[in-house]
Amino acid sequence: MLGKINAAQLVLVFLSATLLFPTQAFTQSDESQTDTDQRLQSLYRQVRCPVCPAQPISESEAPLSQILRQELAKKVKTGMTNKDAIEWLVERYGEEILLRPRFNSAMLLWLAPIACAAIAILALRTIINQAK
Amino acid sequence: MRTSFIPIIAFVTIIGALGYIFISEPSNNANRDSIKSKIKSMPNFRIQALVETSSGSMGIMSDTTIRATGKPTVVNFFASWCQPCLAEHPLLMEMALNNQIQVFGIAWNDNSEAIQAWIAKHGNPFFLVGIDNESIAGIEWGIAGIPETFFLDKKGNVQFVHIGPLSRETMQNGLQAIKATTPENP
Repeated sequence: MLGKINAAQLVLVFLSATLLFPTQAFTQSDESQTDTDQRLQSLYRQVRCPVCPAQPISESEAPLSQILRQELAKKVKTGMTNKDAIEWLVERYGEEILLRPRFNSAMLLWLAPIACAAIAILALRTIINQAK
Repeated sequence: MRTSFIPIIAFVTIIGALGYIFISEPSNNANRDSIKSKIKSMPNFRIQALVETSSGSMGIMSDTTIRATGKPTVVNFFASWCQPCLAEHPLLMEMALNNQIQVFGIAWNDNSEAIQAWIAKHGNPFFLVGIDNESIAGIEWGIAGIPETFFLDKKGNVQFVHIGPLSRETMQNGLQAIKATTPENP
């Protein structure tokens, strides 16, 4: 079967391959760049500008926000995941650097009404049961 | 009868916990816009220092430089354009006289010419001054504004951080925090 392929066909196959590979490589790198940009944008939206009230670094032109964007971009481009990048920031600035802190003790204040209601129901049930 | 106390104990515990949160975190609510550094130990960093080597190139300040002193250290972020930094400067000058500690300065978002002029005018309390003109070290240290001062034990662990100009009281608190971790010489 191989013996039937002539030189012209081989050249044609070779040329097709050389033309195809760079295109594929370019498309892959382009997709990977878009993916990185999207990841960075998502990361920037989660991080609070440390010197502005309630503004993400994605929307802030404060010099510190610009530097944070550059540093985060460097870290993500060298293979750091968004989760690790967030962890890196939180280690330095605390949960306050996130627009939506993952958890802090102040959140207990939001849970307090639910906890109090649950305790009240439990107390009522106990009292009713004892009355019976 | 005993079970009827459980909700009461739970209620008192929750109220106590909430009260503790209110009492222990007033500063977070008061300073929502000024983020204080949360680093626990000295970060890795490397910046130019305000000294010229014998070859004429700029020296280097890094975490290794600071650790090499083998003493508790005070690292102060400041700038020539920062008015509150000027207010705390006499206290830094005072700390520089204490030979049990070493005071380092990191000039944040500033340039070497301005810092040299500022130090010449107001005095130099620093063992070494680093120039962090791009805030690269500042981010590693968790800085969002200046002045901010770190008191580190000789292992490089952060024992006390103060944001804003130092007062005599905060300086003494910081020194006390690093002294507490340093065993007295026999």
